[in-house]
Amino acid sequence: MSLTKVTSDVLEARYTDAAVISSTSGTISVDWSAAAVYQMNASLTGATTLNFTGFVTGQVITIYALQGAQTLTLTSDASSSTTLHKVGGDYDGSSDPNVLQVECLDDNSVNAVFVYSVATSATDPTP
Amino acid sequence: MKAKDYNGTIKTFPAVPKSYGNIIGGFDLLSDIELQGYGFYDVVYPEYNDLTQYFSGLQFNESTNQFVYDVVNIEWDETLAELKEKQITVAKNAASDSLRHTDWVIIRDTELGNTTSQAILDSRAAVRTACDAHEVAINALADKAAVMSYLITY
Repeated sequence: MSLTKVTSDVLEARYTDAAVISSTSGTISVDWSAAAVYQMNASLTGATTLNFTGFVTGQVITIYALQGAQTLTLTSDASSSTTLHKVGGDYDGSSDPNVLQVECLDDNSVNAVFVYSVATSATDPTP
Repeated sequence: MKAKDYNGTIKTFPAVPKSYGNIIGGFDLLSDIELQGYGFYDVVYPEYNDLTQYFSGLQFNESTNQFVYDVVNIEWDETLAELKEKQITVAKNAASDSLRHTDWVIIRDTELGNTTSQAILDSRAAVRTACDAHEVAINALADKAAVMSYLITY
């Protein structure tokens, strides 16, 4: 029988898997080929840079439980520049956890482009 | 307050922004030295006389790593005599305001033939004397800045 639908099982880990980030400061490599969802294991304890690698155009990743009143920088392994387009507000990890969603608009290895939105989040059973 | 030079255009920031460039949050948590690495420097207001001077454009002082406001002397269109007249009017109006508080006492005592408190009479006389002294002092001033920064008190 031929395959008539693309199931989650046949997709790469970059579209289906979840991972945990345990580092809480410094430069943290986030490999977009490894997972689509990243959970921060603990609050940030110092200035942190999320360095994106392995991204492809159109891919979206979500990083949640992102917390800690620290300076947070996004960058990538693009050789020349990493351009970020902000949608909405700024990261504020001083009280509630944040959800950060990033989409790669251009995976050019020289000048990568991303769009991101970040906001505080809370469990809400009655949206 | 911080300021940053954007290719010749200096933008001031009453508060350090929370995000800047690839820093998506906590930019305002950076130290002054770290902020300087992004071109954000303190803004300094030099001492000035707000009666005779005003702040103009910002300049970057490379020796202190600060943006400093230029202090510019006010240029008055009026002549020295006109400014003196203006200040003397201010002095007289202030005296009038000061006397007004006890005018009703004088009117009441005059109407009723009462003896006015000596303390009130003395204080009113002191205001009139001070007003005359202000007028003499203002007329003795030789330049516009001195006239406009002359302090009138009662």
